[in-house]
Amino acid sequence: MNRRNTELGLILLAVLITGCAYVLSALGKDSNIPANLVPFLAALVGLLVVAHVATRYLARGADSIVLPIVVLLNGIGYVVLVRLNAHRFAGPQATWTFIGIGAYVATLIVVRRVNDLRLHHWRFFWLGVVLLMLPLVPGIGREVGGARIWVSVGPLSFQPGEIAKICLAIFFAGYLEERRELIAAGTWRVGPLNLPEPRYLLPILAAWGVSVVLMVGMKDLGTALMFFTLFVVMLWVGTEKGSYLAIGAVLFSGAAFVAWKVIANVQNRVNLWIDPWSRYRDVHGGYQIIQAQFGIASGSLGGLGLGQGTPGKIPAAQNDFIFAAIAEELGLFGATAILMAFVLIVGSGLRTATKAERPFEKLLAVGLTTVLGIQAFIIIGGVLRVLPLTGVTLPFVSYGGSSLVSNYVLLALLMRIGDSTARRIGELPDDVSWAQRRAARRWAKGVTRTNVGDADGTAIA
Amino acid sequence: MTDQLLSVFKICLLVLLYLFFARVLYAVWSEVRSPKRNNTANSGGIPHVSVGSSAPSFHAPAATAQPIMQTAPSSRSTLTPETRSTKLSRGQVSKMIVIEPRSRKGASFLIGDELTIGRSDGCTVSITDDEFISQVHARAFVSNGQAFVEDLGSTNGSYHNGNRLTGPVALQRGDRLQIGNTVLEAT
Repeated sequence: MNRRNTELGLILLAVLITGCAYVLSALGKDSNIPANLVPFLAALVGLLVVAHVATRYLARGADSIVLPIVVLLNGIGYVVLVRLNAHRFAGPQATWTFIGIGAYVATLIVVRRVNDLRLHHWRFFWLGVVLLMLPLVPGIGREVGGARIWVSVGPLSFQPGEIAKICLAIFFAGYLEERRELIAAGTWRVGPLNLPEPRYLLPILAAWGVSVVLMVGMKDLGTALMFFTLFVVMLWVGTEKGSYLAIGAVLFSGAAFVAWKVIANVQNRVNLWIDPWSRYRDVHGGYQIIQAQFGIASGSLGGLGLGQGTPGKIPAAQNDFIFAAIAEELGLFGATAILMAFVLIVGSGLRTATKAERPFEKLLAVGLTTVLGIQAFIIIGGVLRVLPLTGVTLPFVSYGGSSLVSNYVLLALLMRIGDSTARRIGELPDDVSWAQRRAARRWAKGVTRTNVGDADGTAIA
Repeated sequence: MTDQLLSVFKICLLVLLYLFFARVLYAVWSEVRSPKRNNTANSGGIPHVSVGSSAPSFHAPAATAQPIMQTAPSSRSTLTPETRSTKLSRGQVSKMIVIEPRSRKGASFLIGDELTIGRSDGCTVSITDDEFISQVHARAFVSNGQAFVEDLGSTNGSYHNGNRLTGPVALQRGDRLQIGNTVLEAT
């Protein structure tokens, strides 16, 4: 059993689950089987076959479990969106899923060697910073629900932060790969502390500064937390010094405290986190959190059944609160399955990172995994009232094009890293290609060696 | 459609969902449990084409050193019998990439049979604007499927991962070769 066959089996299982969920939600809602079931299944299978075949040819050695899990998350998210409002969400989400899978395949085709991205890391830095700052530009930036993280150009609107997270992960990985020894060395003594020289501390301060600007400018704690965690974790992994985690935590809590004091929106979010009942009737206040809690509570263990709950009562159930909608209709078991999916993706990403041999690939795998995991944590934590609620999307599940596409690109980069590691440590179990098998058979029949060489040569060229 | 039937279906869906995760965990477990996957490469008793054990360098690309056009498919051929027999062996080094100076960063050169570096025009990698480099300064070559670097009696020496070269040294991926102000990385 090789990895790609395992992956194919899992993908088919995920398709089966998605199809069943699609039928069930229609049965629960309207008591009839959806008319477009066959085209839906055909499109789904076709799309996934493309993704799988692309992986088989382009990243044969990559981890086998991530793509199926992502497919399952995407499928469940789509079913819930259709169930919420088929007219509004079904079409765009399907289109974006197509584009997302396309972006996944395109990334696998374009990025043949992840290590080469490191040569461009400063370009990715500027790209990331520009993307991050776009929502602050007057005219195209748009404020939704108190946070300014959207950009609208004509009919198109997207969250540039979603794409920026990949750019910045690439930048940090490239930067730290070059400087980590200098940063880790710690030659500047301040009392009992061994700090790196000030000029090597600059990047962490710069990252902190960017996070603060984000927090102040976009009034969005979640995005800032996401980027800052990304950098601190990568710094920690790159330098192998735990003190960076402590420094980072102190810096962030300091900034967060000041933000809480100064920025009304942040203060508002924190108050609603501590006491959502205080402004229960206000739709922009505690109402959505309370509705989400009611939804999760009525879901109980097994859920109300797809199509039989009332997740439509939760505002923004299609993106921020989709986890609550799932918990209402699939219950604790279903919600746990979603959590498990993210845990497995993160675990697999970290395994890719530990196995990678080149520092850049290792750091990039850590960064991409971190940013995906922390994003899921921030929004699920916000819905469950573990953290103050901040609007980020639940990767692969929520409604939204920029999120889907950028997460598929992120996935493709992780797969590419896993694949190159597998190739380098000679782990590819199915390395014998069809052409090579044919050549080998000819060789076994007693064809002369030179002919084998030619056959092999043409097969490879 | 009765409610009982729907809740039975609902439970079936959840069971299916968890079966999926059980299958995923099984896949993870079987990978973690058997890190030694190399043996399966020859499953089915099919001899790998690279059985030409008498000539391991059989796989070295015959192309002479030049800025490369080849991409991933050629990396398949780097699985020589030796590298497959030991578990942690790395793929063999096939080219050098310029890391410094910045102006040439990213240029890559196939090692092929031999790659010479120096100030003279005849060198594969000809660096004319660096006065610390000798006419024919150093070379990288492939012997028995393994890439080596060697200093060719240069005035200022060549440095392999910071150590001055005194004889041929085997190249591993990621190794850095410094010549004058130029740094090349083996990949």
